[in-house]
Amino acid sequence: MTSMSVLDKRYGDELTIALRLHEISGERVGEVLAEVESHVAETGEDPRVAFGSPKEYAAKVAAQLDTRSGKPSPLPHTLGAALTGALVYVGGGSLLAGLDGPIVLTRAEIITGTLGLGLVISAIFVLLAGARAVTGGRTYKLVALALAACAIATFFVGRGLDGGHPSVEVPQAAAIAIGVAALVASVVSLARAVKRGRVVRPR
Amino acid sequence: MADVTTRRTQWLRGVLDLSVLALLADSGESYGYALLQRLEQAGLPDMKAGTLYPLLNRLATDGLVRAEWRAGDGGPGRKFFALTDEGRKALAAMGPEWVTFAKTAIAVVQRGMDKR
Repeated sequence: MTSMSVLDKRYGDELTIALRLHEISGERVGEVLAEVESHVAETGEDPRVAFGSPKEYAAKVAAQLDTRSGKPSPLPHTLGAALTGALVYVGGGSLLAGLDGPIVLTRAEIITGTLGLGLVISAIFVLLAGARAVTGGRTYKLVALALAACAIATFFVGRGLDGGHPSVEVPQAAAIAIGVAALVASVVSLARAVKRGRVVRPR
Repeated sequence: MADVTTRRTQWLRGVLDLSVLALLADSGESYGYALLQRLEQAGLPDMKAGTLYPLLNRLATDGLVRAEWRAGDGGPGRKFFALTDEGRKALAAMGPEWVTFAKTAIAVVQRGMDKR
């Protein structure tokens, strides 16, 4: 609806990044940018004077988005990312194994595979959370606990169960179908995440 | 003790949502900058755009106002806000509560000042 020329580009870029760090959707980011542009164009004010620094203003926007918690919930975003990772892992593994023949899994493989997947996904989130340091202490602690629990459980389950006896046999066609379905679902999940993150200006 | 400007900002924050609802009830509809001007004309200056816009969006999220973008004449558009029925109910319910509270606070402060 408007050009970025009326708003200082540096301010707009910094505000976009600051809003992103609060996990604010692309649609809302576009709304906020349009509001700032509209106000600055009409008043001629310096956006830093009218709205504060991009970091301060993004914090105010985030605090008003969810009046119950004070912040938008990162849960849907986090679960979506975890689901995409799991789908890629399961889909890729099933498809590759299924192309060679039926998949035979023991009980221990099923359990340790699931826990191992949790371990890898948790580790990725810990790395991201640690690097960005923006998800908040509570989320960080929960993910760290999940990581530790998966590591411990993988060790004990792997030792405690008899891994020699096949527990599940997935026919080749079913393995390929599962793999393709999971990969398609991961693409859909990824596309939804991309769509949510795209900055959309109000019309 | 905080200076006068800081105190006025604190007081206004406590009643800003009701003030905005009242202004919208009075005018029918308005947009951010116009509301800032009207607050200033009403004797409530020092309100920053960075405080008002997130509040307007929170009121919209809560269903107390509705928002609509309208194209501008050659420039950026404006986001207009208008009261919803829920907003009118909230103003009718909380407005008198605020007036009673403000009167009580004034009476307490006035009593203390009269006895100086």
